[in-house]
Amino acid sequence: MGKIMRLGKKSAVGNNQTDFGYLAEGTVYLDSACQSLRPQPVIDALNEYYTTYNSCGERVRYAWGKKVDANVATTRSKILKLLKYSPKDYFVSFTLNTSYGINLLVNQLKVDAIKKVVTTDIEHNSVFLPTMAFAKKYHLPREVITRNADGSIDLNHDFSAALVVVNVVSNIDGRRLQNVRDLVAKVHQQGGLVILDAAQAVGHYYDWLANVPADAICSSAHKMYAPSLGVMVVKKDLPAKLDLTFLGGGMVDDVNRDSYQLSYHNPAHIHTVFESGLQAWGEIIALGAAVDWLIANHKDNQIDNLSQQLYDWLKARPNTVVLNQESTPVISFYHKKTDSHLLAEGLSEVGIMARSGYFCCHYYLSHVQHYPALVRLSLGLHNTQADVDKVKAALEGVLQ
Amino acid sequence: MVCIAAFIILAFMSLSLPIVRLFNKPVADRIWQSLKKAWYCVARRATLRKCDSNFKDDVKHSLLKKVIIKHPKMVKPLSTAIEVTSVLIVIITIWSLLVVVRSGLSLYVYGTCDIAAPSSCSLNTAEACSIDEARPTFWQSPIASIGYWFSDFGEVIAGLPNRIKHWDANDYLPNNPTFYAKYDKSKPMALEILDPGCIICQRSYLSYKRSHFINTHNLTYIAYPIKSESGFKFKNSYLIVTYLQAIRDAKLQNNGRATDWQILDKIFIDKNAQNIPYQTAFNNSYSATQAETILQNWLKDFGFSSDQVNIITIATKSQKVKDELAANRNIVDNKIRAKRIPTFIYDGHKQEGLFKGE
Repeated sequence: MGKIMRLGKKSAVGNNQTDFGYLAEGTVYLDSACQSLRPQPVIDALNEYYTTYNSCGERVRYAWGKKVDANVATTRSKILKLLKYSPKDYFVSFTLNTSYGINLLVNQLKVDAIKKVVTTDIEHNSVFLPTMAFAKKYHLPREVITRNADGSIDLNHDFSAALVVVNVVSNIDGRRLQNVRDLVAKVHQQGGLVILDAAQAVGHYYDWLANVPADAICSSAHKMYAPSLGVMVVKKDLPAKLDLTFLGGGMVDDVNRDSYQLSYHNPAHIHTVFESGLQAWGEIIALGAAVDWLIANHKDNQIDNLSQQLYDWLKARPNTVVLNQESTPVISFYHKKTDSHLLAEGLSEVGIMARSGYFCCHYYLSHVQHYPALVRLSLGLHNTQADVDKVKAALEGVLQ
Repeated sequence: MVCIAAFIILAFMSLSLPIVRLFNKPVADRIWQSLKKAWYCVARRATLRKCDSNFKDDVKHSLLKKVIIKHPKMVKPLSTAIEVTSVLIVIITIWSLLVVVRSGLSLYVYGTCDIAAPSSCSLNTAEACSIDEARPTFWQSPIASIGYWFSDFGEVIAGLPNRIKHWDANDYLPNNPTFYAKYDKSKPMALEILDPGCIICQRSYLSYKRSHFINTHNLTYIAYPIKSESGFKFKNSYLIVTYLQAIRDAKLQNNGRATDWQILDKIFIDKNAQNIPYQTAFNNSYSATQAETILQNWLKDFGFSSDQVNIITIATKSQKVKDELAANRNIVDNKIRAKRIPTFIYDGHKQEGLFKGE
């Protein structure tokens, strides 16, 4: 607690080494693909909200509420700025997580103009399941495209009037959708819609994702050093293509006995189209702090160097199969003679937190590739050379 | 197998849950949650479905995770040891359950938890002289021992109906039965299986002699010398029994009371010149020659002539007596299936062990 208080006096941005000083010595966290650690400024921002102006936002006349509104609006702006979207064309809504955002979109889309659903084989269940349910519900064909080894999608595919839902970065091996801009252009040209799952992109590849003209980009704040929160960046013309059924508090200007007037028609409140009920105000505000921290710490970070070291080292291990085609901060592997879950538990015993299993990509990993359970080492900006050295030392004897 | 073994261990641990909960509720809750997981896994296995939880891995990994990083070479042998131990735990548990079931049923049916060696069972329902069978030990003949174990189990199961059936002594009478008192057809029949050397038979004899039992029933007996590995459990029992049977067959009358019962009176009640009870002397002191002389003298005392005693003595070694004793043994072993001596059949019941009076 004392340590947190001391760090709380640091600058709002801090730096990536000391901002995780609350970690116990020798602890190595390697599950940033699930959720990244929160740097001290983010924790401080959340604490500040809870301890100094904890209140609701929107339509609140007292000072705390107005401060919440202002900070939440700032966070929306920061997100658009981070991803280089114009507020004239896009707006930001907050949800629970990426899965929730995709479901909000897919389940409310007017199906008239959609003739089929297209996704790819390496998708997370957050994409795979909603597209499956959508196609089944409306009796639409669903096409599962095989991703190329470099992560790109074959643009010769017919995307006519298709709802295309794909990830930008794989949570298995960090593989990127190399031709994302061409894909979006092609789908739009053929009258389709594109929803991007950017959950794995916002933490490390936000520059690369910048201003991709998709219809919606769903991501998770908790993978970009912010508290648990879903983030949706949505094209302003998309709400017109929705049949809104997920409704509630905070979404309306007026309500009669059998009718209501939704607020999102007002451009200033368009984000309310996906924000029913009370929002996680503190988390949204802390996301703003996370964006600042990310921008300040990302460029100088050695994450690529550390990832490369781990990747090269793992590739050289006997009986070890690395799924990655190249080094990324997300590295999945398995050892032919060792159960991955056991390996993860063993690593945990020596203070290394790493994920094992199929990472919500059962279809591709288990049923297409027939891999055994995997170990995933996903690095974040908090990781250091000492972390990598410790992992290598721990695995040295096992990966033989 | 690991999840079944874990379930067994957790099930035993859960017996102490109320006490553990008093001192450490989180630990008790963890044990309970683990037990539920284990039960889910076991239930799926028992219904021939795949266990779709990770419980098995959870159990194994909870041990292996301690060594995989620091001693990776130990993982494989330790994993094998866990599997083998699990198999052993399951086998031992199943075997234990079978033993409990078999022993319980055996106790219910025969009054002893071990029908092959009743003397080794401390749960016997009454004092008695056991009819122990001479069998090889497990280490002498493992396969035969297992075979005996299951054949005994079968015998226990087969004996279940006998536990609740109506026992009628008339169905098991020996050839030429004699009665303690004068036969009275208005009285119900009672049968005792006895060994003259058995101390419990002696105590039973005194017990029913003091009670009204001998006045209310036509009491007869089958003399059954209990066998042992070296011959007979009581060294002169067989000799005495041959005399008892020969006397029955001879139908030589003296003073009107059945002579074989008078001999039993002497053995069970009287003492010799050294003030030693005759039963004790027959069991521990007398050689076969001495025992035979005593028996012959008693016959003379009862009024038999020397010629009559000679006839009886010759008859004791006759094939007829041997056949009759074999027939009696067959009644006891295969029809009544008595495991302990004395055994009484009267008033619709079979009672093994010390006669406790009416």
